[in-house]
Amino acid sequence: MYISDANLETIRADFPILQRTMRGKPLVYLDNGATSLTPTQVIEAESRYYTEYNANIHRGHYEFSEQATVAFDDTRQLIKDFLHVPDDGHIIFTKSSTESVNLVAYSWARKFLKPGDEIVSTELEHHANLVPWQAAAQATGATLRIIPVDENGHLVLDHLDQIIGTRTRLVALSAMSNVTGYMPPLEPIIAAARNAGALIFLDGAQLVSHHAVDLRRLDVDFLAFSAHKMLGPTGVGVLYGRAEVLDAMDPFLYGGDMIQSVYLEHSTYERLPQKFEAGTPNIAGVIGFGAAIRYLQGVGMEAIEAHEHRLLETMLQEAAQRPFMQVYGGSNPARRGGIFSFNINGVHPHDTGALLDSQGVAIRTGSHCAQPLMRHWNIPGTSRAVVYLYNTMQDIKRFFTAIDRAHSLFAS
Amino acid sequence: MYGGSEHTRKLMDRYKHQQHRMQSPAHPQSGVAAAAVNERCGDAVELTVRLEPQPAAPGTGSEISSKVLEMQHHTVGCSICQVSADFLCETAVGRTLDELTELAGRVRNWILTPAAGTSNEPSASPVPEFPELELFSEMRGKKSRTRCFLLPWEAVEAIPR
Repeated sequence: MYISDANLETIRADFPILQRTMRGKPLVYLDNGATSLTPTQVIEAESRYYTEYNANIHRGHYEFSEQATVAFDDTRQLIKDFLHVPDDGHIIFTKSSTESVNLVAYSWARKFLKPGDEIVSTELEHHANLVPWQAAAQATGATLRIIPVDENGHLVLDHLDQIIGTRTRLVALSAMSNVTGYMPPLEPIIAAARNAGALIFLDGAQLVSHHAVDLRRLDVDFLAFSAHKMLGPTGVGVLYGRAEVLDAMDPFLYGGDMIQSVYLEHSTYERLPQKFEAGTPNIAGVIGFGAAIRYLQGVGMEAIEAHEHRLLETMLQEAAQRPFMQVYGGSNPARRGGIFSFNINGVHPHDTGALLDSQGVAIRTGSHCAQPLMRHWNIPGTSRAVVYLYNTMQDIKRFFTAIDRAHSLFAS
Repeated sequence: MYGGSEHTRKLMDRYKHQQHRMQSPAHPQSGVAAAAVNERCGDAVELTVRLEPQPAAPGTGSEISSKVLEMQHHTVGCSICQVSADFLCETAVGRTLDELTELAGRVRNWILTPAAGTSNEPSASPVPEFPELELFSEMRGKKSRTRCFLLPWEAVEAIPR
């Protein structure tokens, strides 16, 4: 499965922003790791909600409210189908991946952890999958232990049995580094966690948006990801969780929509997943997310993955011809998503980003919310290009032309 | 900054031919040190300042603000941050620390205020005797670069009195 040139043209025509120019030049958008672009289908789905059946969900006994409820819950079912969620799994809507992590860090960790317990995370994590666990450990007296990385930013798993053990209660790790695209081998980590009787929290913010995921074959207790990184609107996140664990947890936020009965002194709470969805959610956003998932299903995640892999291989080959480029994450495209982090010798990442901006090329520069990884490499940051289904070989060509220009401007 | 303008050319020229840059952090005997760090991007500016001691102000019992004899910088940062630091070192000489602090405030207000008219229109330097600051006028009010520009000026506040 792949995306043909003809399909690529059709896809690109669905993204209005790709028809625009930036700094007077056709836009090359390579900041997909931060957020993806939005197709017309998603924009129209959101717009239709506001123009045709704008109503709150789950509580109105009138046509438009029922229509909104159905559309909202349709997305939940779409996600279940998209990820092959097992029967005992639930999809909870949050506002971001970050909130999904915090939900578990508050509702599970603060309830069940005690001094002497250990949480295990890694040196490559996005701050969102590290800082909430630091805070939970501080609040409960538990200890946070870290799986280190090597010079390529790959996890060092040689001494895993010394890190994950009988004290481990939770292992929280990313399925795909947002800095390098590196996809850690999950099997030995999951096996070690299960041997220890620990839960597994997977940060899927980059994985789910770029790769086919089958939760029937991925033995995790939690998975977090965000709509806006996979063609959907901003302000919608997802937490997948297993019923047994979610049932044991306390609610995260309290209020409307998550209760069954309320008395002046006490209340009882809704069943899953509503127990964790207090207040009016981002209804339009969730409905738009449904359109995004339909779009991704229409193209096919395997085809998207193959397309990105082809672009990444080209980027790694082009970089190998430029001795002035430092590429992070190694040069092997295997076990790696379409993320390309680099520096140009002697050029600060801010300057690289600004120069590419002047050429109409949008990338991200800085620490990418992964300061411990930057500290490991002793660098202030990297420049990062992330490809998605609408990027072309022409985009990659213009990206490297801009890099050559940055290098010549600063090196001359 | 990289639109190929005359300002760009001059900034790049200064970046490549800095006048007051130290290749490594200064020896403590070189003068008093002051630093500012942007934790978000890891950029760091370290100033080394040689001060002329001033006589005590009559009747106050306290020393009045010392005058800067020489200032150098060691900067880990982008071109904007480095050129800004280099210009700061140049304009600091001959000013008292009080004057320099007042100047830093004026520069800060200027760079954080979006320029009137089209964004690419040069606007006058906030320091008439230091027209080179006009080279940064394209960055006025643009959050992505003002922090880089301001980091050296924030280090001024850390100079020990």
